[in-house]
Amino acid sequence: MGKRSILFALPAFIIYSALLIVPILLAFMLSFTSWTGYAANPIHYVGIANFIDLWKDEKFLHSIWVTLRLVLVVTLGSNALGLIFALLLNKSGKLTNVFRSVFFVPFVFSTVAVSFIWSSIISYTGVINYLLGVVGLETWQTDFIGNANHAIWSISIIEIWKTVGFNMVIYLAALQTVPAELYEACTIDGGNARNKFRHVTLPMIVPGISISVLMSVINEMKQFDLVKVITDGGPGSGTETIAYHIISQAFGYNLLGYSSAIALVLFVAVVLVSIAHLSITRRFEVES
Amino acid sequence: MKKWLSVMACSLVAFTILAGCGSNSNKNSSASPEAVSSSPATSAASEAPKADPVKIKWAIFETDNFTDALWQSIIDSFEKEYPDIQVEKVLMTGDSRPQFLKTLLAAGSLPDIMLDPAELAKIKDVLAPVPDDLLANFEDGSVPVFNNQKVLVPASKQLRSATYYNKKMFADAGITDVPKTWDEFLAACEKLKAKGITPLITAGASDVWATSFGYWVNVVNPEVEVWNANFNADLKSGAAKWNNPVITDALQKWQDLYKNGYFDKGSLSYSYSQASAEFQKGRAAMMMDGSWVAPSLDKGNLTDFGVFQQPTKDGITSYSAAFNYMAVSNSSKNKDAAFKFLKYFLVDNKDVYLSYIKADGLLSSTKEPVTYEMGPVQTQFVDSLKGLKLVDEITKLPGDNALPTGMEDFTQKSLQSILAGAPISKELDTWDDQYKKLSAATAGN
Repeated sequence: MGKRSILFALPAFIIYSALLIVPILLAFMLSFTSWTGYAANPIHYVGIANFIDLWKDEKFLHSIWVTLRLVLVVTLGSNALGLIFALLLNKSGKLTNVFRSVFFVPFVFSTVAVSFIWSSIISYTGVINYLLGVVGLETWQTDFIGNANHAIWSISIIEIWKTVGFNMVIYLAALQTVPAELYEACTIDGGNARNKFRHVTLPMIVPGISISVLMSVINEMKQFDLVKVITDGGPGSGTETIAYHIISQAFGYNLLGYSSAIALVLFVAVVLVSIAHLSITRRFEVES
Repeated sequence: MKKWLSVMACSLVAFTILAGCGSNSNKNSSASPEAVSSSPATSAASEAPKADPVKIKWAIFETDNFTDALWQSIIDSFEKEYPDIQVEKVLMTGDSRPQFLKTLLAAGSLPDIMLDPAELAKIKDVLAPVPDDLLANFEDGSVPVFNNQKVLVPASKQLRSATYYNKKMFADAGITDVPKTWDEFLAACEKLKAKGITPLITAGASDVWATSFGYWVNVVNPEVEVWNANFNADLKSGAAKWNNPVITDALQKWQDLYKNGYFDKGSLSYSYSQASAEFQKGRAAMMMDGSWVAPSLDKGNLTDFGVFQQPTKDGITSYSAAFNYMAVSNSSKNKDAAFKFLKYFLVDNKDVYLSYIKADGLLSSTKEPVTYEMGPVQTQFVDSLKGLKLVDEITKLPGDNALPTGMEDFTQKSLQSILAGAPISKELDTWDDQYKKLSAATAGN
């Protein structure tokens, strides 16, 4: 039985190792070299030089700042809205399923397709500025993409719109695990709707919050596709995220060793954030 | 109701997934207006039927001028002549073709033949040396040497850039003649602005190259050439730096144009095609753009537009032209077939070659010149170059003094930051750092 199960697991294990574990280990090794990515070029070991260069690379430091802003805004926005929508839709009603689908649909769309659609909406000559012009608010017309500060906000809002449905589903699942007796007990004790949310719902859905927030944080820490299509990291390097910086160093400038070093730093950061996050939220978890 | 909803939801999901799967058919057989007939030609077609045709891949890109139908008509013509060779197109997507090709190189799947391979020529042994009998057909001095090898085929010559203008807007602002000095140019901008006409437009957003292309080629490059004709060589030896007074001053003028409100406010959010379309719709009076715009204005019979050579602080001194190269991958298993294709396309069949250069307003690079009748804007473009000196373009210079691979992409990103207001001297310092880093990487150290 044991041998047979190993046999069944083997194909998946081999594919997983070959496509994930091995590249991660290779990236770890490459981060200590100056390899350019071309097979013909020799691989020179450079010690920790790449990791020292990192902290002198202003574009990398800026990409950390951009990524942190995205992580903060999107995680807060998407989770707060996801929870609100879940609370509103956690009941049986005629249109409940319709609304659940409506909020979830953006998550299903391909990011690249979504990015192109949003680009045409928020472009300077796009729908939003056109409508502002029609109603006589020309002074409100804004360059949503060509100004780095506006562009980060635009990307954050699109990302919240796209991911809110996914977070809502996690919160809906979490809300449905809260036993009805607890709400009854709260009512008997004279609790109102606010008390129910504060003292029953919130403590009971901590595992849901935990997973949803963690997924948002990790997703935004590796944000690439939306930025690539909408601004291509621009104007200039204004909206480059860490993941964007990794890809451009590797394939734009052929600094594969250096980009592996950044990837390793990002990997360690994601692991540390995840551990910290889980250990903090675990303290708030309660058993029903 | 619920059933309907699920059916609708499922269809929506299926549609979304399928929407991303639309592929660019490589077997587009639609007849092109530019389609060319296969000529009797010089090459002998093999009459005997072959069991398995040789398949080669050709990396192409598409623009309004270089359409899928044009490339397909070239392939059809070749395949008719050489039925034992099949050519399949690989469409280079994204805003940076060098980056696209380098990604394929890293993945070990470089196509057999490539358009725009100059960046790869800088890396040793990636491209195949071109047979002398093929190179003998091209103009003297057109074949660059990289690491003692000739790996690029100079397929055509491209006049680079000029300033296109809207004649009606110029007339409305009372500008009677095109500017010949930088001060006249500034005065024209001011007159247009005073009349409520936006003087300039450029592109930004994800078309990083397009933001600075026109200004770099029209203003920065000529000013650097007047100052130091050996800039690339000096940069390589360490005698010159990117952060120098000439480049700083040229870029300061550009940044000032933006700060003074001479550029359309949405410039940095337009894609290149959007900016071109907005310019042609009359959103701004001038756009510094590539030579390829002239034939498309002529084709659309847009007679309201004219073109002039952009004055710099030194007046109008020079223009640049660059060769468009093609190359064959060194790892190709069918190099002979690939070179046969290039020879047929660029040398043997003049009709095919003409359809290619005419589409983008290019000039022939062959020893035996191939010419065609040009429209009014293109004629004005060519006439405006009379008496000017042809100079190298720093970022496009091929051969051993070429910039390291990746440097041009880096400068374009930084130039976009500069137009958006980044401190110029600090940005140029990053160019010097990156130049050293990329030179070492290109050399394989």
